[in-house]
Amino acid sequence: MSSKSQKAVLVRGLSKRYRIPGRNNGGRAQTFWALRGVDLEVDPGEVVGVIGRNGAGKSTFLKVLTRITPPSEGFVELCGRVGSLLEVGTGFHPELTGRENIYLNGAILGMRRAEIRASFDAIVTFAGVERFLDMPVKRYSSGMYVRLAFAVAAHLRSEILLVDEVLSVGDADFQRRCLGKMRDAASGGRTVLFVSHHLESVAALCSRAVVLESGQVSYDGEVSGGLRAYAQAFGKVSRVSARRSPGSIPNSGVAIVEVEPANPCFGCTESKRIRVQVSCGREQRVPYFVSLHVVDARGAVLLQCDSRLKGGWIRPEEGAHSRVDLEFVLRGPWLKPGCYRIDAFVCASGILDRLEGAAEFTVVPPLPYEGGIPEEATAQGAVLPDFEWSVVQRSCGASPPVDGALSGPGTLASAVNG
Amino acid sequence: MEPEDAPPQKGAEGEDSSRKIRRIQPAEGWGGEQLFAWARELWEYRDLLWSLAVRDLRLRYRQTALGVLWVVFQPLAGAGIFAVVFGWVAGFSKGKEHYFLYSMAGLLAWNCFQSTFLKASMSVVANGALVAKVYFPRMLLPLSTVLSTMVDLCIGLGAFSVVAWTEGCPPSFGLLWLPCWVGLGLLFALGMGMMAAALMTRFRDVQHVLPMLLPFFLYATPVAYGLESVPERWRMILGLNPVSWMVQGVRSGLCRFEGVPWNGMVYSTGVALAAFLVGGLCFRRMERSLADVL
Repeated sequence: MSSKSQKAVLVRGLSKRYRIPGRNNGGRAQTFWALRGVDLEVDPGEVVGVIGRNGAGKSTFLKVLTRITPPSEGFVELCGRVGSLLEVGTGFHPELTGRENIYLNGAILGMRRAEIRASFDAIVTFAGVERFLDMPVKRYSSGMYVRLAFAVAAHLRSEILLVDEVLSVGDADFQRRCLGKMRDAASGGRTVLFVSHHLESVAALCSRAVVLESGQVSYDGEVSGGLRAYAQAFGKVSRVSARRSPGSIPNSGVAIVEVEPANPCFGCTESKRIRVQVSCGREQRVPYFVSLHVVDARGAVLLQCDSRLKGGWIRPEEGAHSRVDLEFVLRGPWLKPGCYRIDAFVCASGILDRLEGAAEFTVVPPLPYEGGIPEEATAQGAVLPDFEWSVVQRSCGASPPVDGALSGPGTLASAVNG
Repeated sequence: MEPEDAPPQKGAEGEDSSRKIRRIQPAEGWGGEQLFAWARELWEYRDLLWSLAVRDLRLRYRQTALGVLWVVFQPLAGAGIFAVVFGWVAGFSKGKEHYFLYSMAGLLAWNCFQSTFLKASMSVVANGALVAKVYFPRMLLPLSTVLSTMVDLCIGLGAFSVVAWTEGCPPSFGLLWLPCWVGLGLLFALGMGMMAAALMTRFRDVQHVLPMLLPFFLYATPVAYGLESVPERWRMILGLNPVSWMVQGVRSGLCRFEGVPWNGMVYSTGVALAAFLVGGLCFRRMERSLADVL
């Protein structure tokens, strides 16, 4: 084995079995496989996102990799020093001061004392707790606590970094710094295994995705494909049950047979093709139109794709039973990652047929913007804007706004400068 | 274990010794064949051992008004109670000129054993949150309890020497044997503590049993009385307890040196070593599956 082909992480047939004490079946213990035959090879410097639903085995996988729990079968080989960020703040003691906790936590994470001393200032600066170093951490705000904990862990010099959901804590600014730190780790040639639910950070950070599904690897490859596979795995369990309610015109003979997206998941900017099949009885004489509503997870109707807006009405076959296949292509606007429901309507002078929750599709990250995007930058809008901005005019040394209400543009300009 | 998977040692020693391959595989047996790697790992984590020990020390008297004074008060108060109950009421002090010192020396030795044993046995369960989240050699937890015991002992010895000086009791050459006896006691305490800790991860009953059994053990150990004042046939039985020899030895070194009881020394060394080995193996067997049972 030459050192070039040496994998940073090599996992072969990894299985983890738990015994569940059975009360239901006569007290016999049942076995449950949290992991079943997982194979994985990670090259040095790769950043791999491990995603999967709750209970898919992600945490067990990390626990085995970090040697917290031994595997039942198979083996793992890790080449190089391993650092893990399993839960921020583990090993912090509330009664100890920030300074004492830095040393303690560093040692728990496997750092030598000299190493901690060397990066002590960097840790304190990163966490921004200079003034509170000699205060017990139980008096810290939760934000400071988390920042300090992450800072210690982030300064552990290891070849392999195992990260579990750390980004779910802290404010947006801190999350961005964490992501930046992890990106640095990756670009510095370190191998990162990142286990997360947070698909956007996986998309932003990882070069490869592994999807775990009931303890097995169901996908291993490109990130975009991984996010799709993950969304599909989601789709398997939560199917919206379509609810058909009678239209206002009874016995029209017009019915929506099927609504189906071309793909169960789309990228944010991708054209979303949705096929609709409508059957039309011979009773129907007058033209009708089809309308699709795209409803987001909160129940807001985002888009009303009404066929009247583009080309108008559909004329039924004269005196014959007909079946029409339509295709809607939704190009804009960009949708935010998430789950969407389609309600379909067929109408003439009133509603002929309606099918709520006729189909469902998922929009998966990455976001169509450059750089690390804090979550709150997209939190407010219902959809994602396709926009540009630029500084048109900048006035330097202009007299400060007299009116307090005019301070807005000033701060904006300083923000741009900063 | 497949023999072909011996980890390839790569790179020059000086160049990058940390870049070695670590293999994680199912835990099996007592893991004796990896004992060497495991010992080396303990050594690599020596800084954590120190940090954990310092943490315990720091935490003990934080937010107490008297702080470290408690370390002095406790043995003094204990010896005072012993002097009153056993020396004065029960009349154990017959033929002993400095009974207060006598019982204080015995208590110092006993506390050495007891606090290490209790803390070591509780150490894993008490640090459950840590154990479930981060890997480190678990044995550091019981081992780290030794430091605070040593600090207690040193402070206690300081208090003892002050009392001895006021009572006009000069130190003897027997003092040189003190580290030896203390070491034996700690070894035995750690061994028993690790056994108890291993058992406690599965059966929390141990947590309740220990505080109940320890007083019995205390009275069965010649702390308030001397081994020589026990009837011949009972002396044999009390002599089976290595802590008896340790307490006797420490006390003889501190109060009036009566020579080293070699048979007792050899016997208790053997028992302490055996206890430490068995305790260590039990602990090691339990250590890998710890996160699943805790």
